[in-house]
Amino acid sequence: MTTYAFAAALFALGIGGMALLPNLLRKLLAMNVMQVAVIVFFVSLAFKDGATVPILGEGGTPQAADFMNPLPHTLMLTAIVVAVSSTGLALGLLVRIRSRFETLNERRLLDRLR
Amino acid sequence: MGSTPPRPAGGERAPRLRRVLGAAAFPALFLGLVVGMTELPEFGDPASPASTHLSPRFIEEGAAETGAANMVTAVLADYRGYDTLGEAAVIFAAGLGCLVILASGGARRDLPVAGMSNRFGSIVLDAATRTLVPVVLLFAVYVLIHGHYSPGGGFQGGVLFGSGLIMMRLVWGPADASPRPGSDVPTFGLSLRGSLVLASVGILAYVGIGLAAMAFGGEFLNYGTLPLGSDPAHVRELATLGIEAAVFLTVGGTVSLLFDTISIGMRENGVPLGSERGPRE
Amino acid sequence: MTEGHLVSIGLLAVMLISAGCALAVKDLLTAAALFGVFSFLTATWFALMGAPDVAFTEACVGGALTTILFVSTAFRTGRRFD
Repeated sequence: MTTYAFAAALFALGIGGMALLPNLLRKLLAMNVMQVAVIVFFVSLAFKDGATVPILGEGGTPQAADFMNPLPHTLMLTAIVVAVSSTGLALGLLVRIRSRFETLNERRLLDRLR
Repeated sequence: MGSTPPRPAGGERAPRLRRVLGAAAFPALFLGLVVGMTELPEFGDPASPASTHLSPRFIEEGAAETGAANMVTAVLADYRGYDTLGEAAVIFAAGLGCLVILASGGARRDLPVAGMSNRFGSIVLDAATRTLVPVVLLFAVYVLIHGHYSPGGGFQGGVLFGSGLIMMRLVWGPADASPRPGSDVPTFGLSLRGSLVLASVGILAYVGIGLAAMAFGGEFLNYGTLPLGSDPAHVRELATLGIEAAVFLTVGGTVSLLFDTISIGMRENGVPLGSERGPRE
Repeated sequence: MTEGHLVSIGLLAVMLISAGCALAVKDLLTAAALFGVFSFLTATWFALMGAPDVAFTEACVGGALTTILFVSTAFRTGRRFD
């Protein structure tokens, strides 16, 4: 429960930063924090008491209770790499916005667009 | 909790009431999430629904069916091959999008020359990179190939490979520029076009392996029918390695492509792009 | 390893603090460095949770790549948040 609460706190921090910070780059950092919060939540769902890493060792037939759940691990592994490519795409957009409008502040941008 | 944001700086501010309400919404969200989480199964419970539906099959049969001791690799490249194809396509699309956003417009003659033409110039950095980069690239390939038996695989190896390429760019300058006169720094780095080709080859190889499985009478991405041997687990192991290699190429190419396109403007030694741009950019 | 493990709780607490600091500072390079700290702590916590693959990816991606991308953006947009 404590772990879930920490994931929720990270999520609230990230989504709050996305909504409230005025600078687009900081919004992007906050988005990354939010993504990590979701990943933390999934990895804590995969945890089993008394289990070990999901890599088969020597001998014996594997028992489900002896290994962590590999499915959330797989999903989160791809999610991390997708997150970094979407961050790269967003940074490209920000560079473009900055070179066109000379600011990354949301309010000033809205003023320019008006 | 930790969700009190810093106050907005600069620009006009929203009315006070709205700011207070906005800042209060996120602690409320946190409390709501915590209340909702009391319904979740106990942390670390081996009998939770997430651990009892699909994953026992992956854990108990995975190694025998796919030949990969690392269950994450088995699930990633074999059981959930479709999903991974989608992820690889998303990554490739993000790289393409970044290229289109930043390097399009026809006027950019500096397209293939990415990275900093103006090197950091330090002997320490130069010597350290010469030792580190080959090790990083080799380790990336090791991580890819050994992903069946230890943590690793296409995604991690690809990111490491891309990081090695980026390290070269950072210290030695652009891959396409001629080396400094009198220096024996090799320029075997990829050009921006080379990264794009690498990423495209990766995604095409992924689809190609899937189609090959179809051509030999199976379903798309169901590798059991490929003519690679008689033992089905061994066939799947080899096909999984091919899939991981395809993901490796896609991720490595895209990562280096992202860095290249974002850093094209760095050649002016830190002067932001906005101050030196042409009439149209 | 149970949930009440002090290492896990401590790591999560430091993660939260470093994420908060990364969002609070006014300088992009500092923010990127703090985000790298956050990512490495997260990777350590993943390893503690028995997810070495995820930890490996997070260390490569969050610790190195995201930081590099943010820093190279700082070269093009200026390092102060306006």
